[in-house]
Amino acid sequence: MTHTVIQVDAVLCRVRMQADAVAALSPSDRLDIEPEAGSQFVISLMAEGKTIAVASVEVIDGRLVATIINNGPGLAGRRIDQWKYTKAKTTA
Amino acid sequence: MNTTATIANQKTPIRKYQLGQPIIRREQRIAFERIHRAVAQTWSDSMAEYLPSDAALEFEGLDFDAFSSVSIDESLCAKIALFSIASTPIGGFLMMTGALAKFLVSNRLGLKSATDDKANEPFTRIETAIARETTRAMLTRLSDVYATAGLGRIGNIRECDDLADSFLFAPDEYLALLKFRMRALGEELRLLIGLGANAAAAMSERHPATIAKSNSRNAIVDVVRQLPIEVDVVLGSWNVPLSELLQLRTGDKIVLPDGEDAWLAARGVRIRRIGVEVSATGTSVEIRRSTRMR
Repeated sequence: MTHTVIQVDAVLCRVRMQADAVAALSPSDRLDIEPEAGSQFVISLMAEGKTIAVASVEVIDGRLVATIINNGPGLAGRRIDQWKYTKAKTTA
Repeated sequence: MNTTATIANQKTPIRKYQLGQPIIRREQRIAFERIHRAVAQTWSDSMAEYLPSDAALEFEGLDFDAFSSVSIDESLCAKIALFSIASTPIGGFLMMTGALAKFLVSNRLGLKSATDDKANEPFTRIETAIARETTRAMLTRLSDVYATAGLGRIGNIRECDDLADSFLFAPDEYLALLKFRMRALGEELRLLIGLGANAAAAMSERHPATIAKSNSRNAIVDVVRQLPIEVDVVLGSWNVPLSELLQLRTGDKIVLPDGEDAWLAARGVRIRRIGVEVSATGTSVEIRRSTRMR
């Protein structure tokens, strides 16, 4: 069983959008996403829709490095904090 | 009486599409048919005073066909009126067969219906005037119904002796053909309205109330559009043996993908390619041109 390979997704954040806003997203559209007040800048490692670990994120030498801050069964199914988004068209 | 549900459930025979034939959506067809059922009812009501109780005009159906396919009644009593719909490029005609015109005029005069040997005789001057007035009255009521439905009022009415020489439509031009009939004298007396095929398109541009009411599908679509969807910003994914995952401990560090090949996902389904820039204050996501997503 321990040889089983699992796909892990690194989910940076989750935003709630209206279906038509999602459908209207087109190339070069930009979403600026900021965490709700008090939320940490964290990333969730998810497998099969379940959160298996939560990690803080920092930029070290230009690379994104995650540090596990919590993991284990206690986090299973935990929701990712809702983040706010604003849409702005790229002018470049 | 047809209700919306029964009309919607009526099966329209499926026919092979011919190149050049106009396309009409199902909702438009239903609305178009409903309008012309109302026309038939209005006509019948207005003639109820002098027509036998069992004689009423019924809407038979809508069809699209080339102008050249329209069978023209060459009876001397047939009545044809050409018209246009105001403020639109839509032209049309109303064609009443000679038998129907004879029947209406005879009943209006309180005469017995024409016998077989008189059926082919031309109208007298009085009868011609009555037939003309009847046609005009029908067009006025048609105009009222069209105006109520948002199609516009009928104008520029002129009589025509020979539809083929009216130059109203080109022979290969497709028309919306609205067929009416009246069962009387043991036969079916017919009336036809022909409209430029752009009439159906005009209906969708003007969104008449009848369409909006009939189109409950639009209401559903509007609700679906407002549904909230949780969208994940996914930096990347990788395959990990379960054994490694079990060894993951607090404080372990993982180098994450750089965000160049990230994606948006809804319930595990990738919906857009994105590029992600992470800063101290937040995250910026740029939608990328889509490539095939898994």
